[in-house]
Amino acid sequence: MSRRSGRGRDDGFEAFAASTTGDLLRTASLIVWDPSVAEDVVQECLLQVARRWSRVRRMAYPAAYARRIATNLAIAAAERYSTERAELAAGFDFEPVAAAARLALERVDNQHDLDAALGRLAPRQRAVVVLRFFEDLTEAQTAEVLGCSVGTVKSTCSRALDHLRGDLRSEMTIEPASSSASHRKEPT
Amino acid sequence: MTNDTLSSDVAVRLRQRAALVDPAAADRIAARVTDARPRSRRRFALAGSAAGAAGIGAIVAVAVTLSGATPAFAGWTARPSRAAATDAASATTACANQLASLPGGPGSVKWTPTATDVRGPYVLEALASGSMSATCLTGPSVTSVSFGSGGGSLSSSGTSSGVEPGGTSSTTNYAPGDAVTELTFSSLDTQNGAPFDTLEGTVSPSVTAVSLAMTDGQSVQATVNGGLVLAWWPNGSKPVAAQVTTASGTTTQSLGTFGPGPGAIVHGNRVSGAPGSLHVTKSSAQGGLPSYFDLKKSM
Repeated sequence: MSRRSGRGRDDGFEAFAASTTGDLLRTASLIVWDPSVAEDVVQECLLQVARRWSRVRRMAYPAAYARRIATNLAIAAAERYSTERAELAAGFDFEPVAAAARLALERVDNQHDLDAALGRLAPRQRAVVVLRFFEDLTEAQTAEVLGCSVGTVKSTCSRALDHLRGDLRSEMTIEPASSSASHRKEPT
Repeated sequence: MTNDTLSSDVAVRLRQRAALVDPAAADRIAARVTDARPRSRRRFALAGSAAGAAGIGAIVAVAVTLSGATPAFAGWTARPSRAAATDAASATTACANQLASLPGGPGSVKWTPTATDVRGPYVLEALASGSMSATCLTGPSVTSVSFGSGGGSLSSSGTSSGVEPGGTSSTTNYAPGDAVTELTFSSLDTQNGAPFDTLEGTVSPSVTAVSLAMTDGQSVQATVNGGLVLAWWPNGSKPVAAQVTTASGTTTQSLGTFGPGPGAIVHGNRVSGAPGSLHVTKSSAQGGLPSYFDLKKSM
């Protein structure tokens, strides 16, 4: 079996990595919702691409392939992170009041905030939202990236929007206060 | 709030958040990965007819030629035998001819075998030519080739009593330090319901032998050559563990579950058309996303 030198060759990987890492990092950050974890995700993604570069470089759309890997790694990382955080919270009961209070305060501060609502989505829901509304992928393209059916994308996206709408509902119920003022009879 | 308003707000918020990503972080990652690339890499891509790694957008062409009635791989053995030079050369020639005949294929190029697995009258070869790679199974009743290339999406259907190259393929990367480092499992079915599967991958250079423990309780001895491992079997079972032999002894490595999980390539060709015909359709990958194609020819 012939082998070739892997370092110092100009096979296009370096340029590929330089041109795609920023986009991958932005997408992964939005799915993971944690920039530092996203860096690990993108690094692992690029290492996987590097290992298969001889094949990937011949693809019509190597960047789409990398995005697919990064997306699925990001979902897995976000799910793992959520689980670990929950286990950690369950394992440290000695400061429940402080932790609960902090979380409650965060929730109060952010409950009307779309950013926070996005952060509270399940990782796979957030991935669908990111692919559809940040990456501007079609439902079919999103399904291909996630390896699921178009129907699953539609239902996941719908549920994600429902969650967001639910999180923002309290804000919406405040808004009518101003509109109800218009119904108030002004003194004549 | 309507869906349109909400999705529009979401898009704006996501873009705002994405803009906060430190550009220097991307540069750091790219530099780290470029530095960390291995000095040498596998030369051949392990492509079965449903080939390519799970999730890989590699374009894979497959051609299967059958002559006459197809016994279900009669004469196959669980233990590979030494390849006779003439048999290997003959197989390589048949494979090269088949690859050259593939519409949209690599054309007439010189292929070099990088690993050869012989079981009874059947020869499975991993082939390399420049940056291209291919896998080829030849025998008394079948010649099956597959190779990876880029660009667009092709699909085709042939006819008659042939091997049905619809199937699945998935690649598993194992933990650093494992003796078996990467395996691509491809599953194919003949039209008359006789499945055959290929397993190709890389092992630590210190590995001298790999025996696969199968779901049916049997074991299949793989061919190990220069860090490559190659095997195939006709009974539809799947490998669950590898008994790996090195100079320091034998260990068992779990291989996990192969199959069409998320990201796996799933092929579902259907045979149609007149006997001997070859129908090829070509379409571009949709929306910038990779697609896959199978190319099959039955005679």
